[in-house]
Amino acid sequence: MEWKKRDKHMMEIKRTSNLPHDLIIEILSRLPPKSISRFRCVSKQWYHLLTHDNEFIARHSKWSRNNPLLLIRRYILDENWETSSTKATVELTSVNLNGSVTDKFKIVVDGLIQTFISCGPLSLICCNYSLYICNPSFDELVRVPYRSRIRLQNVGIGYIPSSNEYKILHSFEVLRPGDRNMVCKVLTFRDTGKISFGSWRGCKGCPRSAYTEKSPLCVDGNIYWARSSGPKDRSILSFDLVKEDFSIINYPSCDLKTYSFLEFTGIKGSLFVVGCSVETSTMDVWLLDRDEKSWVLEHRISLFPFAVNFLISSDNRSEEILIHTEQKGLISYNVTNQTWRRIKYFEGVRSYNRPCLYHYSLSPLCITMS
Amino acid sequence: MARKNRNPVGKNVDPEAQKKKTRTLTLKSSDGQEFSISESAAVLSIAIENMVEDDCAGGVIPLPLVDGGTLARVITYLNKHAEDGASDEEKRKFDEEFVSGMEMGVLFDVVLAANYLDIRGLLREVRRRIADRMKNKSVEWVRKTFHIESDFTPEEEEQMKKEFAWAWEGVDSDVDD
Repeated sequence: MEWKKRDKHMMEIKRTSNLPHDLIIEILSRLPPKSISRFRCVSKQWYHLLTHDNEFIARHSKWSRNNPLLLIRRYILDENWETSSTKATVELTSVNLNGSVTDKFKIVVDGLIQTFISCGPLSLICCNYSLYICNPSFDELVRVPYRSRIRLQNVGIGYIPSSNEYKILHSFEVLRPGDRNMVCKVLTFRDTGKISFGSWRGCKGCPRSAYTEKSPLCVDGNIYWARSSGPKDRSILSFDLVKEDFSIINYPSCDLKTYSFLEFTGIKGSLFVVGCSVETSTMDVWLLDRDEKSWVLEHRISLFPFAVNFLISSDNRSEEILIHTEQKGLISYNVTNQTWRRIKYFEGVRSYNRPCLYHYSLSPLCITMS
Repeated sequence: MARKNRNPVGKNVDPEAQKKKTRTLTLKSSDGQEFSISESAAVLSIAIENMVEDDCAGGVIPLPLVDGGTLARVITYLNKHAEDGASDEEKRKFDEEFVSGMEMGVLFDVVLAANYLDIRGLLREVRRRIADRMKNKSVEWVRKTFHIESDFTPEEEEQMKKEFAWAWEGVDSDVDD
């Protein structure tokens, strides 16, 4: 081929010329945080660009939010593992929505993981009496101060953009003779610069008998839990992160019995409840109206012949619902275009090991940038 | 990214769209090579579309910033994406293969051409590919590839390496794959 020879020659000429600044920013804003940290060393100009340039930071943040990653956990039982062991080694794998593994690292926690949820770039990992914040962008794990002897159940995490704060919520039942009461504690922390935790404090107004069924989800400044106190009394418990106040939202007034199970997900910044029916292979997608009083049936999706296993909840402004199906692995459904996309199946995703979704962040929890 | 006068393939056959398929344009590279291309493929480049609208068509469209080798590649891409009946899946596969064999220098040429000719899909694909190639590479590889001289003193560099030691884990060898 004659082209080959020509290209070699052209390459030598072109390689001395640089790419325009805008193209450089576009390319660099598609890099993972670890690479960006390393490439700060390239030159002083790159150091400034990758550390302080607002345009770069904004574009990286936008790209990261549009390209979330799955965080998958797997216990490592090596030859040193004993049944009496109080520690557990867990391998965390990040997988992008093209099915490629982007990162892998190991953490050691106090026993089995009970809660594994995410909020923006962070993940909250909860064992019986220990609580951790994980920042998968930088392979970091930080222990959250917790000294109580009360088992950690019903733990949630949410983010308030206006004050750049995270809040962790822990609600539990206190049994006194003749009285059952729910108590809720809140812990605030920030991740700008070095992570700093406040102290746990009480929060009033937690409704009684608020047994929650599934992991909570934070959407647009509220944490939502599926709540039930008996098979007939099911509703959604919502917590306003700024006002720190609880409210109860009723489910759509259709016959919930037609659904095999209900799932929450955030789409375009609103809470959606998805009713899945295994029998008919359909999914009803309900949008919670802003005033939080009414529900709108946005979509009725037929999945035939596939059966829904579970949804991977998203807390960002994406337009896609991630559905784990029995037969096909992961499928993504775009609610705007109403189109399907199959995501290459990754073997670590299994029904008993529900992954969470996070996005890259440029600020590590423990390392302060100069 | 819908353009005002791009016609959906197969639906409501527009006589204007038909004309575009049969009409050909000639693109001239910086080193004087001429390439013919159907108008429907050429206007996937917003820059060329604008030139056609401004009635530079009919004659030869000169592209003084794109060399022949790069233009030949870009035209292969445009033809595939203007092809009737090519499914999105097929196009995705084509894009994947199209960029996979290119060396870094060629990727740079193509990204510059896509930027200049305003071909959004190609630009997106090549940018992604460059970032993918870079992400596990060493600082030295990046300097060499982007023609950047380090202005850090060796002490400063050593200090940064110490501070972010974890960022140097899992770095590939400098072989350009």
